[in-house]
Amino acid sequence: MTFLILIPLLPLMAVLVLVLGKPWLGEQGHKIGIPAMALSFAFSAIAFAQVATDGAFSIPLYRLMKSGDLIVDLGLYIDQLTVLLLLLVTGVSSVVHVYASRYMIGDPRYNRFFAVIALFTFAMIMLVLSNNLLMMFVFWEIMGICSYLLISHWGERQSSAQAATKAFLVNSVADVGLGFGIILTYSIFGTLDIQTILAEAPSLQGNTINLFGWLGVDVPIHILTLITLFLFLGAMGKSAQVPFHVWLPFAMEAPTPVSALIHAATMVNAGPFLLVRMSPLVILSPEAMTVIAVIGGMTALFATLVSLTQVDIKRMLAFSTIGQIGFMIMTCGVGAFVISIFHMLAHGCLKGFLFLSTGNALRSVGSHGHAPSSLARRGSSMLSMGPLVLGALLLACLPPFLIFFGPYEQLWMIQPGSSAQWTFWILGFLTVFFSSMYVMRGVLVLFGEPLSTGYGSGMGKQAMKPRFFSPIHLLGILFVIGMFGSLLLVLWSWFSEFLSPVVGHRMAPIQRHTSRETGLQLIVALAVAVGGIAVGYFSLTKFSGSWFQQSKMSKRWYVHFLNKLYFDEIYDAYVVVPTLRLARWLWRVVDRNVFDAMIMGIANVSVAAAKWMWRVVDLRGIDGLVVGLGRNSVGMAGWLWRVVDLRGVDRVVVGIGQRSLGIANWLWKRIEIRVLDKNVIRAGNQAASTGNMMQEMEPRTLQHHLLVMIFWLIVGIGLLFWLVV
Amino acid sequence: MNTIFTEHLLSIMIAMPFLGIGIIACIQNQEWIRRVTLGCTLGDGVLALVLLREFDFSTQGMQFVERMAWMPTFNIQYAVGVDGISLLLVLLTTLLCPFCVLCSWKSITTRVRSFMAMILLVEGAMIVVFTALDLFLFFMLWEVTMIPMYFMIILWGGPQRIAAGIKFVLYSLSGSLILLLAILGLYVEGGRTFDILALAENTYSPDAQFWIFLAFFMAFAIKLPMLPFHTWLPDAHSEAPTAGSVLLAGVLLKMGGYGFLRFCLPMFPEASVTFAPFILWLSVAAIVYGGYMALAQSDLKKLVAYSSISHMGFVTLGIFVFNNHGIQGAILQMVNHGITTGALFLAVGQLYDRTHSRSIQDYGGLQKSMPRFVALFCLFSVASFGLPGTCNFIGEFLVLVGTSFESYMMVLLSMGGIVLAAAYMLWMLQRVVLGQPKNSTIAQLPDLSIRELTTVIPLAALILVIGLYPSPLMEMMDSSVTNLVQHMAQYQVGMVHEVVFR
Repeated sequence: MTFLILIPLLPLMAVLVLVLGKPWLGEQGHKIGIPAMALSFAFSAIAFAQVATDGAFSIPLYRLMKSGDLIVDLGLYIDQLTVLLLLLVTGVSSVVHVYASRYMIGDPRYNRFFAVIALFTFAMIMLVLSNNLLMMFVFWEIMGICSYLLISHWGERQSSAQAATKAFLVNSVADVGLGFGIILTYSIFGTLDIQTILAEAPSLQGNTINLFGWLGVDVPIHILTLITLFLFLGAMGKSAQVPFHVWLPFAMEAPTPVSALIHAATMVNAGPFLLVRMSPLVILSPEAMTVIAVIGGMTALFATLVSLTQVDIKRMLAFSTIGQIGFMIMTCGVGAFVISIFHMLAHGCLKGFLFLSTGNALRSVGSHGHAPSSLARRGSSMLSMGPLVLGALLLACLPPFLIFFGPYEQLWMIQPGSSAQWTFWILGFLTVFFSSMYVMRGVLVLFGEPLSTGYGSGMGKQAMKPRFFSPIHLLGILFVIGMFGSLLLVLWSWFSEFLSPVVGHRMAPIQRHTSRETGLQLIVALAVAVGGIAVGYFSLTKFSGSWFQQSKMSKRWYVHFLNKLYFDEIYDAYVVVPTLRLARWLWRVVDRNVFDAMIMGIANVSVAAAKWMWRVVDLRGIDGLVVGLGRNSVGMAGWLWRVVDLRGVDRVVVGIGQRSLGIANWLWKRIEIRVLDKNVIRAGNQAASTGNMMQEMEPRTLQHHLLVMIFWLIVGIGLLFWLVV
Repeated sequence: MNTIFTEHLLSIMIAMPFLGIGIIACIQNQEWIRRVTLGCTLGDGVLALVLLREFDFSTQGMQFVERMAWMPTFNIQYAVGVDGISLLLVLLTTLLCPFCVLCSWKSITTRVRSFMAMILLVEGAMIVVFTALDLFLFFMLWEVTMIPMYFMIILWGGPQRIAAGIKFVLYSLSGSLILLLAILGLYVEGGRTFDILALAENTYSPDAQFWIFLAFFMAFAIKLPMLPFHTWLPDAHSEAPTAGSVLLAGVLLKMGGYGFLRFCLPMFPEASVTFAPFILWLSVAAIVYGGYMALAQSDLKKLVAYSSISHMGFVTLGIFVFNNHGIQGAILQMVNHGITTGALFLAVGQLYDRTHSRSIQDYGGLQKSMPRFVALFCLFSVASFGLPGTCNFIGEFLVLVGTSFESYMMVLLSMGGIVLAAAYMLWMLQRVVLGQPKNSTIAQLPDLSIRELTTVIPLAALILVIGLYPSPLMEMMDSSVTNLVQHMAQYQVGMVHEVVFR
C-alpha cells in the first residue's frame, strides 16, 4: 500500500511545480492543481476501500529526530477515521480548485493562489494522516500559515492585512495550549506516537500532577485532564470556539473559494478531528469532557444568535460555521464522537456548497448595482440564486436531521431524564430554530437589500457559466449523495460500526431506541426548523423591520449581538493595546533607563577610578600621546609621517606638505618600489581617515574610552604577575 | 584517511583566511579583491565539508587534533581539534562568510580591501575560537574577533556608529578582562596548564568552582548576550553594515553559548548546577523581555536584534537544563538562529540598499513591487518566530521538551515568548509587505537581482531542509552531547519543581 503515499505527495508536487515554475506558467496554475487533487481524491477512494476491507495500516516515512529517548519517526497512519477525512479534504479541495480556476481569472496572483491552496491541501492531508503528535502540530501550524497567506491574498487592502495577522495571532495563542499539551504528553508518556499514547492512557487514569509545587501549594490535577484540556485549547483556536472565535469572521476577507475550502469545510474541522483522534484518551477524563461540552454548547448558541443579526452574508455564514462546529465539539464533549464526524462530513460538503453558491450569487447581484427593485434582480439572477436557496434550505434542515435523528439516540441514553439531557434538548432546539431562521434571512437579505459586497477585486460581472462542468452541481450532487444517502438508517449503523474501532467509548453496548420515538423527535425537530424558516421569512417580508427591534429590551440585545458581544473591542482594549503599551514602556523606561544606564554608570565609575589612578601613577608620557591622538585631527597620520620621515623615505613628501594622491604617484615614480610604496600611502590615507573619524568623536569620550582600556589592562597585568609569579 | 592533508585540515582551514588577507593586500583591482575574498571563504566552506565527510560521528572525543609547543615556559601550546559541538559551529561560520562577502559586493564601495580583510580576519579567528584546545589560544583569538567588528561598525556603519562602536568595545572588553581573570585563575587552580582537555578532567574545589564559574559566566553572558548585559547588541547590530550584522548575529554571539558548553559545564559541574535555577529564570525572562522589546521597535534592524536576545534565551535555557533534549536543542538553536537571523539581516540589508531607510514606517505594500523578495522575506520572518517546518522550530521544541523536565512553568512562559515573536514578526510583515505602497518610490523598487538571490536562496533552502530533516545535524553532535550529559548527570538532582504522583 506504499503507493498511497501519493495522496499527500501529489499536492506537494503541485506546490513545487507552481512555486518553481511560476514565471513560465502564465494563468495556467489550475492545470497543475486540478489533476493533482483529482488523483489524490482517487487514491483516497482506494485507501477507503483498502481500510474498509483490511482495517488500519501505516506507511513509515523517515526519522525526523532522535534526541536521547525522544525518537520521532514520521509516518502515515491510515484508519477508518482518516479515510473519511481524506475523502472530505481531497473531494472539497478538487471542487474548489475547479471553481477557483474560473473565479480567480484576472487575479494578479493567480498561480500563487493555486500554490497556496495546494500547499494547504497537502498540510491538511498530512495532519489527518499523522502518526505522532509532533507531526500533527507541524502541519497544524502550516495550515495556519496557509490560511494567513490566503486571507492576505488581497493584502493591498488594510482590512485584509489586519484580518490575516489577527487570524494567525489568535491561533498562535491557542496553539501555546496545543504545544504545551504535546510537551506535557511527552514528559508523561515518554513518546509522541499517537497509537502508543492511546494504548497507554488507561493505565494512567487517576494519576495526578502538582503543577504549582514550586509555589508551595499542593493542588493535584489529573494528568489526563490536564493533557486533554491543553490539547483542546489548540482545538478551540483552530475551530474558532468562544473565546477564540474572533478570527473566523474576519477571515472572510479571503477570496470566496478559500472561505469555502479552509474556513468552512476543512481546516476549521481540525479541532473536532483532534478530539476524535485522541478520543480514547479524552473519554478517560470526565472533567475535561464537561468543559468541552460546555464550551461547544456556548459557542453554538452564541454564534447562532450573532449570525441572526449579521447583514454581510459571508460573515453570517462564518458565524453559522462557528455554531455548527460548536455543535460538533459539544457532541464530542458528551462522548458521541461518531456523530461529530458524521456532522463534520455533512457540514463540510454543505457549507462548501453554500459558500460557492454565495460567490456566484454575489457576483450576479453585484451586476445590478444598487437598483431598488428587488423583483428585477430576482428574475434575472434566479439561475445562480437557485443553488443558494437550495443550500440554505438544506442547511436549515441539517441539524434536525442529524441531531434528532437516529445517531443521537446514543445521547438520550446517557443520562435519561437528567438535567444534562434537558439542557441538550433545549440547546439543540434553540440552535435548530435560530439557524434555520438566519439562513432564510440571509438569502432574503441578498435578494432584498443591496449588500456591502466588494469581495474580490478580480470579480467579473457575470454569473458564472460552467467551464468544465459546474462545480456547484458537482458539490450539490456530492451533498445529496452524502446527506440523504447517509440518512438511511442502514448507512448510519454501518457508519457507526465503521468508526467504532477508532473512537473512545464511554460505555459498553448501546441500547437501541424504538423507532417510533425517534420518528417523533425528528418530526418535532423538523417542525421547529420549518418554524424558524417561516419566522425568518416573515420577519423580513411582512413586517417593516426586523422583529428583533420591537421592544426596548430586544433592541438592546439586537445591538449587543450585532456587535458580536464586543469580543473584538474587549480584546483590543484589554489585550492588544496593553501589550503594546507595556512593550513601549519596557523599552523606553526599563531598557534605556535601567539596563543601559547601569552599564554606563559602571563605565563612568571606572573612568573616575582610572582618572584617580592616573593622577597617582602619573603616566605623563602616555598621557601626552593619548591626548595628542585624540585632539589632533591628523595626529595619527602625522605620527605615521614622522615614522616614515625618520626612515628617510618620506622626507621630500613632508617637504611638500601635501598628502594627496599626487604624492603617491610622485613617490611611485621616484622610488620604484611599486607595491610597497603604494601601500604605505594608502596606510597614510587610512590613518588620516581614522584620525578624521576620531575627530568626530568628542575628544573626551575618546579619552575616557582609552582610559578605561588602560585601567583594565593595568589591573589585568598586575593580577597576572600576582598570580603567576 | 590519514594523509598529511587530513591531519592538518584544521590548520589549513585556519590559515586560509589569513592567506587571503595576504593576497588581497597585494591586489589593486577592487573587483579582484572581492573575488579573491569570495574564493577564500568558499574554499574554507569546501574544506569544512571535507572535514564533515572525514568526521567520525561515533566517537565523542576530539578529532583532527594538532598540537605544537608555542610558549613552553608557560605551558602554552597551539592545539586545535573538533568534536560534534564545535564541528557544527565551524560549519556555520564557514557557511555564513561567503554570504557576507556577496552581500557587501555592491554596498561597500569605500575601503573595499580593508573591509574584505576584516571579514577574513573574523572568519579565521572564529574558526580558531571554535576549535582551540588551548585556553590561551582561545582567549587570544576571542579578543581578535572584537577588533574587526569594532572597525566594521565605526568605519562602515550607520549614523550612530561611533556610539555603538564604543559601547560594543566597552562591553566586550570588560567581558574579556573578566574572562582573562577566570583563565588565569583556572591556570593556577588547574595545575599550571592551559590545555582545555586536561583542565576538564581535573576536579576543582567548590569555592574555586564558584568564583571561576561566575567569571566565565559573566564573560559569556555579555557575549551571548543575556538579559541585563544586552544593551550593546541592538546598537551594534543596527549600526553595523549588513555583513557586520550577519557576522555578529550569525557567528559571534555563538561564542558565548559555545563557551558555556566547552568550559562551564565540563569544568565546573557543581557550580553549574548551583547557578542553574538562576540562569534558567534569567533565560525565560530574556525570552519574554526580548519579545516585548522587539514589539516596541520601529527600526527593522533593531527589531531583528532584539529578537536575537529572545532566541539566545532559548540557548541558555537549553544548556542549563543539562539533558540531551535541552543541549541538542540549544546547539541547534545556535545554528538555526545563525541561519535565520543572518538571512533576515541580509534581507533587511537588501531593502536598505534600495531606500537607505531602516524605519518600518517608510515601507508598505512591497508585495506588489518585489514579489520574489517578499516571498523570501516572509519565509525568514516566519522561520524566525519558529513556525513548525522551519529550522528554528526544531531547536525551540527540543529546548522546551528539555525544560519540561525542569519546570512546566518555564515552558509555558517561554511559549508566551514565542507568541510575542509571532506578534512582532507578523505585525512587521503587515506594515512592510502588505497594504498600499507608501509612495511611488516604494511602489517602483526593483526586485532582487540574480546576485542578491544567490545570497539568500541557499539560506532559505537550508531553513526548510533543517526544519524538515534535522536528524543528520543531531547525529553529528549526538555522542558529544550524550557524553556531556552523562558527565553532568552525577551532579544533578533532577526534577525539582513539580511533583508527579504516580
